[in-house]
Amino acid sequence: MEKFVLAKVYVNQAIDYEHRFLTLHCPGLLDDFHPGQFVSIRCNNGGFDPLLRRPFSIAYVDYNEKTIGILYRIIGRGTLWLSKRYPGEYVDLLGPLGKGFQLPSSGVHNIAVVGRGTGIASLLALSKLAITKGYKCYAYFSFSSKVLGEWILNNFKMFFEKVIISTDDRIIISDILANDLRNQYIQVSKIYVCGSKRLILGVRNICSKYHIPAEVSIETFMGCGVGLCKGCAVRLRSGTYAYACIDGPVFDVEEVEI
Amino acid sequence: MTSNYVKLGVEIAGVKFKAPLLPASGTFGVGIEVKDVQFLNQLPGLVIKTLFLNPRPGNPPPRLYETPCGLLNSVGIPSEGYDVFIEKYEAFLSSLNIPIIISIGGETVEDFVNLACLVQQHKFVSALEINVSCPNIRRGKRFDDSIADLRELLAALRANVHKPLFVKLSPRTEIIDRVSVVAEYGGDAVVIANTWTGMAIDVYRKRPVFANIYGGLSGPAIKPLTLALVWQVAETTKLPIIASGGITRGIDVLEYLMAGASICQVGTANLINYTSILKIEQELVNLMRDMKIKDVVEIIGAARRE
Repeated sequence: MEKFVLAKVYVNQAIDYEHRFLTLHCPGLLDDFHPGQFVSIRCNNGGFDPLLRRPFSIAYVDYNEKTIGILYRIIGRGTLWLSKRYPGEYVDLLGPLGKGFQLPSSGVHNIAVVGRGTGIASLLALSKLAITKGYKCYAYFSFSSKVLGEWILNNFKMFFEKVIISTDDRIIISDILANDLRNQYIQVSKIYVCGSKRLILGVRNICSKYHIPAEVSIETFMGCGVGLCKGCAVRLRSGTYAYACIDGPVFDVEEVEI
Repeated sequence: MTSNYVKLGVEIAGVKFKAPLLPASGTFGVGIEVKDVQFLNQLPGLVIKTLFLNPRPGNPPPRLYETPCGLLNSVGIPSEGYDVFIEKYEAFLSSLNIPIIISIGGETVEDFVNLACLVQQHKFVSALEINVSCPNIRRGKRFDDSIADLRELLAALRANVHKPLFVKLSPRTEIIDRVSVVAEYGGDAVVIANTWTGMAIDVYRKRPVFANIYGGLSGPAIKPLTLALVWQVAETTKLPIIASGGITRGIDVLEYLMAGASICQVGTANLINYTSILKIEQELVNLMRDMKIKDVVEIIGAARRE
């Protein structure tokens, strides 16, 4: 179950001018964590501006140090506030929230993760779990920032059997995965995606062509993060709505309308 | 218990609340989302998200837009409908030991009355909140926009409903006229007020942010506006006033009570922290101790006295 905690800032590392990797000490929050889940951080000093908490995927969990890592981009007032937190300060955090990814229960012990920008955060946590369970993990990441791409490669390449990183906006990274599957360079039993619309649609096409299941982590505005406000509606292909905070943020890629 | 030193209890239409605080409808779901029955039983009461007779999907996303110290919403009251609601939540709601108020909505008088008749049969229901003020249903048109519609609705409800009726009105300059209608047709209390109509424009798309154009503004940004309405309403009515608008701290509750409200509803603050009500209650107790106020009832309308 989720908990309210005051999490101590260990490091708030600047990767480039707009990307940060925040490490928070939050013992007591890690026992229930599953990759794909998120935390909700109050991005003010106890006031009401910005008003709502901001959701962040958990990118990394260190059970020895009892820390979590959050990869974020400074895009608004909330993330700007967060970027100015220094080691030793505390942030008001609620989590872990939502439903996470499910590793494949049958087929080859290989998975592919496909992501763009900070959307790769939850895929990093999933990849770490996957390798500890004996899965091979193939990563297809794209970034607009070369510096971020290099930083991810330097810090997380140990999770992956193979990593392809593109910083060229003309390349759709899911096309490279499609090519690898077509040529049978790799075999996977499940694909996980988080990022742009075209990336998610690319993965959906791969899934129907090769009959591989896939899960997508949806990024959307959120209100409460716990299902009270019904603000984070995600339209399903069935015509109904689900809520990213409690029904997701992870959904079957065939289920959601992109 | 914190209330050893100060009396916090208030009573409206025979329903006893152990403190003058409730969650506002639509900001606390059904309560089950919180998953902690022990915590829920510490609340002075529960106001359930507006229920409709038949299922409704709610509005398409985006449904939320943050403003300085405020929140615009165009949620559009998704509802599972009465049958599913009772099947899924009756056992849970019956297990709670606090007053439960069901907020109900409808697009016609008949919808409202049929639903109210069904809802009032359930033992766990202490009172009904009649939501005639949601701006998110028909492009900003609300049921209480027409006094004639409101009169017809309340007459029909009072003729058929024996449980207390709290009527949640829209904020507007002519609110006094609506309050008079509620008093005349036997409403037991007025809820002042629902969200303020607002909107936002996505300048890059050159379109309103919400598909429904308008949304309802809530949060600390609206507190002075709703407080002024409560003040005006308290001047003209003897009906108990349930205040709702931007309450985030104990001092906000004192302001509303001193303006003439009997009880306060906390809304947007629940979205930041769903335990807000207990924190606000503790702040209220601390303030009352500091100010040597022994009973919350003493301060209702205190700022109005000469």
